[in-house]
Amino acid sequence: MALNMRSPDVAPRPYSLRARLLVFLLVPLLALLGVSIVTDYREGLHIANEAYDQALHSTVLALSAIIDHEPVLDSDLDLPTQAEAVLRVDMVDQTYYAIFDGNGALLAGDARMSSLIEEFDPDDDNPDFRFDVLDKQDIRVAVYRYSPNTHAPRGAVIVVAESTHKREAAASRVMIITLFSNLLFIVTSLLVVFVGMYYAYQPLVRIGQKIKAREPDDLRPIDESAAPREIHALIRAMNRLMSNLRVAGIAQQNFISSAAHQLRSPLAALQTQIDVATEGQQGDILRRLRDMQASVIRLSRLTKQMLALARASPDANRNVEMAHMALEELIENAASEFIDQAVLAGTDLGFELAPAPVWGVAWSLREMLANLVDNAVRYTGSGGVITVRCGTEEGGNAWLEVEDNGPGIPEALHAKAFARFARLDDTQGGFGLGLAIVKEVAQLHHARVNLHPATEGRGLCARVTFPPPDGFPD
Amino acid sequence: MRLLLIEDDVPIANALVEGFARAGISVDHLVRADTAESALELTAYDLLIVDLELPGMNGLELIRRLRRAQVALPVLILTARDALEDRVQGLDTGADDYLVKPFLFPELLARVRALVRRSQAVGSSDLVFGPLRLYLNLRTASLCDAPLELTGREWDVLQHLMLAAPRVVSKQKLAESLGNWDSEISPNAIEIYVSRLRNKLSESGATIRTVRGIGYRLEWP
Repeated sequence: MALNMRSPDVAPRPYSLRARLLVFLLVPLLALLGVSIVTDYREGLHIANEAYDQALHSTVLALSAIIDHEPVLDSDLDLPTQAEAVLRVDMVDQTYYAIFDGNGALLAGDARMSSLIEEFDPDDDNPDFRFDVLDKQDIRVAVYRYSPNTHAPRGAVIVVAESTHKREAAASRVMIITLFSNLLFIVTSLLVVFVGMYYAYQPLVRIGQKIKAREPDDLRPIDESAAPREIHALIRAMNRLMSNLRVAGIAQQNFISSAAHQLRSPLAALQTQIDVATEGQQGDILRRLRDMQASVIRLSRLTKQMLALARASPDANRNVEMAHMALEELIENAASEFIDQAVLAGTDLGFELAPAPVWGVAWSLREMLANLVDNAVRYTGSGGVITVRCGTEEGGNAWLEVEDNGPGIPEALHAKAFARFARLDDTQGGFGLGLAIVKEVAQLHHARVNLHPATEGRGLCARVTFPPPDGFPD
Repeated sequence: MRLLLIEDDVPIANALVEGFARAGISVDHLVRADTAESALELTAYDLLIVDLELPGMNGLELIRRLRRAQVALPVLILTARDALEDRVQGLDTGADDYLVKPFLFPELLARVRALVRRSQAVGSSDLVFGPLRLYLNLRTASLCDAPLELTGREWDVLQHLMLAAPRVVSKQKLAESLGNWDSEISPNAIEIYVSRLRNKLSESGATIRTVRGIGYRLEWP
C-alpha cells in the first residue's frame, strides 16, 4: 500500500547491501547480547556469592567449634576476644553474629539478630543462606542449626550476617566485564563484516569499471572466470543480453546491407537512363534532368556508404584475412579514383607518401581513404588544398593523414563527428557516414583515429595511427 | 567499335545501348550468357560487358569458358556484387576490369575506351587516345592527324601516359621504367619531358595533369 501511495516519479532510494547485511547481523547479535548479559551476570554473581558464602560458612563453623569446647552451653557464653577480633577483621563489610539456644534465648552476640531466625524448615540447607535486611541495611545471613548434644542439650542456632558491599562490588564488576566483552564482540563482528564486505565487493567494482571503460559498441561477453561465484548468474545473464544485442545489431546490419545491395541494380538503371537522357537536352528539361541526376548520384552514394559501413564493422569481418601491405602503394594506386572528384570541386589534391607498412585489409583501407578524401573535398570546396600523407613513426606505427585547409571542425564536436549520420554542417551534401566508416575500419585494424586542427592553423587534419605490423594483436 | 553486352536488367541495358550509340559505339545486347558464345563466333567484337548474376549460365562461367577457348577479347564485369571476393574471383577468372553498379556512365565509357585501347595496342601497331595516335612500330606519333615531332624520351613518356590513362602514372615508376643500367633517369628529367610534352599538346585539348606528390595523368575532356 505504501508503495502505491508513492508518487511515480520518486524513485525508491536504492538500498545498500552492506547496510542490509549489517542490520541483519546487528539484530540477532543484540538479542544474543541481551541473553548473554543476563546469563553471564547471573552466573558471575552466583560464583561470587558462593565464594563469599564459603567465608560466612567458615565463620559459622568457627562459632560452632567454640560451642563444642563449652562443657555445657549457657547464657554466659564467653567468646574469646580473638574470635571476636577475627569476626570484625573485614575492612569492607560489617559482620554480625549471634548464638541463640533452641528456645530462641540469646546466648551471645547481637540481640537484634533474633529477628533473622525464621521457622525451622527441614528442607532448608544447614547452614541456610539468604539475603535480608538489618537496620535498613542489606545483609547476607547464614543460619546454622546446631543439633542438641551434651554440650548443648537444647540445641543452638548460630546466626552470622555480613553487609553486602563486597557482593555488590563484585556484582557490578561482573556486570561491567560482561557488558564490555559482549559489546567488544559485537563491534568487532560488525567491523569485520564491514571491512570484509568492502573486499568482497572489489571484484564487482572492478567488473563495473571494466564495463564502464568499454567503447559503446563493444558487446563482447564479460569474463566470468575472474568474478566471484555468487555473481556468475548475473554475469551470465548480462552476457546473454549482450549477445542478444549483438545478434540484433548484426541482423540489423545484414538487413541494411542486403537492402542497400538490392537497391544497386535499379539505381544503376535509373542513373544510366538519366545520364543518357541528359545528352542533347536543353533548357527546362535539361535543368530537371540535372537535378534528377544529382539526386540519383546522392542516392547511389548513400547506398554505397551504407554498405561500406555495414561491411567495415569488425563484426562483419570476424574471419577476414589480413595481410602485410604498403600503405603508400595502396594510396598511390587509389589516387586516380579521387582525382576527378577533386578536380570537379576545384580543390588541389596532393600526396606526400613515405613507406608505411601495415597489417590490414586492402579494400577496407581503400574505403577509409576514400571517405577521408571525400570528406575533405566536400568540406574544403573550391580553391582548397588537400594533402594525403603517410609514413611511419619512430615506434614502428604506420600512419595515414588527410589534411585540408577548409573550415575545420571545432574541437568540442570532434567526438560527435564519428557518429553515424552526424552532419556538422548541413550545407554539405554528405550523409555523415564518412567518419563512421573511417572509425569502423580503424577498429578493424586496431588503429586510432584523431582529428586535430591542420598545421596551418586553418582546416582539419584526420590522422589514423596503426599498430606496428609485427605487433598486431590477433 | 562494337561491344557485346550481356545484361538481364533491361532498363540498364537499354540505357547502355543508347548511351554507347551516342558515343559512336555499337552494342549488341543479350539477356542470357548461353547464347553468347555463338554470337562471339559470328561477330568480331572489341569488348564484352557481362553481368555476374544472369539467368542460366552465370557471367563467371562464360568468362571461364572463353578463356579456356583462348578468346583474348577484353572483358568488363558490370555487377551489383561489390565484395572483395567477387572482384578477386572475377579478375582471376580472366576479366580485365570490374565495375560495380550503380556507376556513372562517363566512367563506364572511359573504362571501355581504356580497355579497348590497351587490347588494340597489343594486337595492332597503333595506340589511340583522343586526338593522339602513337605508331608503335615506327615510334612516331600524330596529333589531330598531323605528324607530332617527339624525342625518344618524350615518346616513351607519352606511351606510358596513354597506356595508363585515365589512371595516374607515378613519376618514380616512370623514371624507373624509362631508365636502364647504363643511364639512370632522375624524376627531375621526367618533369622536363612532361613540360615539353605539355607544350606540344597545348593546342589539342589533351592535357597532362600533375598529381602533387605522385605523378601525372593524361586527360581528354
